[in-house]
Amino acid sequence: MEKVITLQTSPLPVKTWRYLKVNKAEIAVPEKLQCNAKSNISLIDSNIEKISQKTLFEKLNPKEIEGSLGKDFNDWFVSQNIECNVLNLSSSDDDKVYHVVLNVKDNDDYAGIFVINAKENAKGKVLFEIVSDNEGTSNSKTDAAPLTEGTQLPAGGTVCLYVLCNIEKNANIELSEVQLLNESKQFISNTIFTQSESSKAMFTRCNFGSQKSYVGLKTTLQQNDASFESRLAYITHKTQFLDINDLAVHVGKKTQSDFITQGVMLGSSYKNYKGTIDLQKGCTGSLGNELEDVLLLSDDVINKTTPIILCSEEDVQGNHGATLGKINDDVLFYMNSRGLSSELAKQMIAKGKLYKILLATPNEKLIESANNYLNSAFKI
Amino acid sequence: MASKSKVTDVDRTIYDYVDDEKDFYRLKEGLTESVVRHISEEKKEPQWMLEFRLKALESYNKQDVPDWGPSLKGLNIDDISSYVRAKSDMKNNWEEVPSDIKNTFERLGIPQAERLSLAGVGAQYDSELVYHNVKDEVKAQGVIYSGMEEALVGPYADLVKEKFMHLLTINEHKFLALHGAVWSGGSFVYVPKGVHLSIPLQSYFRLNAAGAGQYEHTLIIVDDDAYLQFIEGCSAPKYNVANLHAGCVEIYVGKKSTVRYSTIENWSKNMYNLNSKRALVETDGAIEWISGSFGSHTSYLYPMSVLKGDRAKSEYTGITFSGAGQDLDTGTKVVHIGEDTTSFVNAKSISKSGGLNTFRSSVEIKKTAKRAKCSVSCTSLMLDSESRSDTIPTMDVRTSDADMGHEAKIGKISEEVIFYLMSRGIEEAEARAMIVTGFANPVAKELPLEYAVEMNNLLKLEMEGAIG
Repeated sequence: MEKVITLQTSPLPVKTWRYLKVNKAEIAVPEKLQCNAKSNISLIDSNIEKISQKTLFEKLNPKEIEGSLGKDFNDWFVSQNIECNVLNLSSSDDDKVYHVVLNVKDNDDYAGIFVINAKENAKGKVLFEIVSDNEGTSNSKTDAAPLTEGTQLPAGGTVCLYVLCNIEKNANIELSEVQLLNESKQFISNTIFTQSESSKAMFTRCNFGSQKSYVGLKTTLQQNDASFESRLAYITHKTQFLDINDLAVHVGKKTQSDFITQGVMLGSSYKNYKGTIDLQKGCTGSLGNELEDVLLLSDDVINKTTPIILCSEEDVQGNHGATLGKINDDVLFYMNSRGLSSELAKQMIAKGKLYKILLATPNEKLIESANNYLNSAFKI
Repeated sequence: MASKSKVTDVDRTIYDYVDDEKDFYRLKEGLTESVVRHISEEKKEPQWMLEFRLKALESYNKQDVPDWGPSLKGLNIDDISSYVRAKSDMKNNWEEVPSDIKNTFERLGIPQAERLSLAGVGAQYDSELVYHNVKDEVKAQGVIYSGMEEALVGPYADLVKEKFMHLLTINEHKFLALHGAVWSGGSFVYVPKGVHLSIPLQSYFRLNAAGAGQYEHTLIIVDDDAYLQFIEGCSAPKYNVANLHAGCVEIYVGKKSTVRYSTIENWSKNMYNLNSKRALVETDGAIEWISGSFGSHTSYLYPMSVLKGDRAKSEYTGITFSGAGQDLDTGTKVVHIGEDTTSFVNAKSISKSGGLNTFRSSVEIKKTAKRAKCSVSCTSLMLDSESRSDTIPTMDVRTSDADMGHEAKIGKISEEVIFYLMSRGIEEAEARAMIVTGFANPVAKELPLEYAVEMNNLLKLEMEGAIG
């Protein structure tokens, strides 16, 4: 039987009151992942170079590759000895979409490292599709027990994706991650961007599946005029558990980060969103914006939100906003007056919020799969 | 490049006056069982209170120092004397208060304020109250405003025993346990049913002794359909050693009652201010916290509202000004339990000359709080790049039938606005001071006039000397 260990991860960049239980998350993981080669990992393009994890991590400063899931997670991940996929994007990749499909079988684990090097002036799109081989349905065979305490390991295996993006001067990349795993699985995503002068990055995430998800994002706007935009859509239903830890570190001057997060919560699900804008000394003229909008459609959900701004520079602007709650009664009344039942109206509004982000995914078939997943979650 | 302003520290002359300690009784530094027993003996208090203190000491020894918030490394409880008192009993007549203590309070304008605009005053000097008085017409309405020790054995002794440290308990954190073990002084207020006090009560806390702790306990019980405004002021002279303030305020707000609790905190900049405040609000009741934090070396201050009854309300309006050498961690906590409860948080902070400011908040909307509404707004102004300003709000919502909105902004004074004001003939320093005063106005307008004037004067002093 595989040995399960508990990692102390996803730390809040600055701690707050302990009783709120938001300072960190615990992830139960197998000490050694059981990755089965039969899982279908298709890389829709052959422009991917393979190197060993050892070779990769020898070149990198461990501190630089520590994402928002923290050191404990990194130490465990590095010990897995996983093959790395290196994708080099150049200026000739204009508008090309590199589509990586991780189709993981039931009870299999999967771990992958992807290094994306966007060379100077490069422009490109990379799409990660993370699905189970019974993709397109949100129904697991049985409803799992609530796992909000975080120390149990879901039965269906762990999928772990580690993406390192190094974006050089004037490069412009769009990264998308759509996760539709079935609800017996655990998903861990750790994405790290390092951005050079005048680079642009957009990261679109749709996190709909899996029993438990831990989603970490860190971008370091290292040089002047770099900009970053994150768009995240999530739905949690039944007993799903979702921990999000997003962090933008502004170092260069006139850098900009924008975080837009849209969420819908149903059933007895749990979500903890942590979003931090860190405006460091010297990042004059920088701007950080953060917005989370969560629709709560059940009385049994637990929704936690901690949007943080850290500021050590005078000549900057940091803004954050959050709206949490129900659909406006006037809007519901209007839709009722047009013949829509309250239930249907709620579903339409909820899906509309998620679609704003989902539709940016550069693959229509995947949008359709995600739509099927949402219909199944709403039982349409 | 935009010109920068240099700002000076507050002229603290009136606060920094030190009285000689020769006529004072002072317990040796450190926290031991013998210190706790000694304090209890000094006060000739009931046996249950001694037992409570010893239990609190045990809890203090078991708990760790918080691993979040500003550093407390400069605070060593072995260097703090927990009990210092003047060799004089509490007086009800101002003329009988010892002259050196009386002079200090007169410099701070306390008796003058009482004559002009207060229903009653309590003045605490180090560990004990030195003066307590309440106007006859207020007494006639059945309002009790007494020293805490007096209340332990007075006609409301049973009520005090029932409520004392039940809202803020000794096991919540280390400094509440410390408070429970060595508390001394403070006030007990009881406002009977149906009484609306139109003029405020005030307690003023002065810590004169170097290396001492002040642990006053304020217990306010406002019965149904009543109104109370309570003002708390604090100051101390500056020393080179750490002083500690770990007070505790418990407020019970009855049905259809409102309590407005205003604080102007101006401790000296060697003070560790680890104060705890909480209000329990019943059906249709309201708590209003008005908080101005200007002093202290380090502050942990988060008044908490527990909205237990249906339609209970909470408002928090606060401003924190953090200057050189200060690390002020302030904010609020709200728990919505009753249906249709509402809360409103409006926090402002200003950081300058290397000051560290943290706004920290928590809003919990429980499953039972159907149709709860909450709005949180936090705005921070950075006056230079030597300073720091952080906002750390957390929201925990557990019902679908609630509305929660949160917004926060951090930024600097707009150069365009400065330019506009200068183009109208206003000098830059004055323009900056005007903008800062305007920024703080939502807090100032909630304070009684005398305090609003004092707050604006403090802000002007902070901004005085601005140069291009």
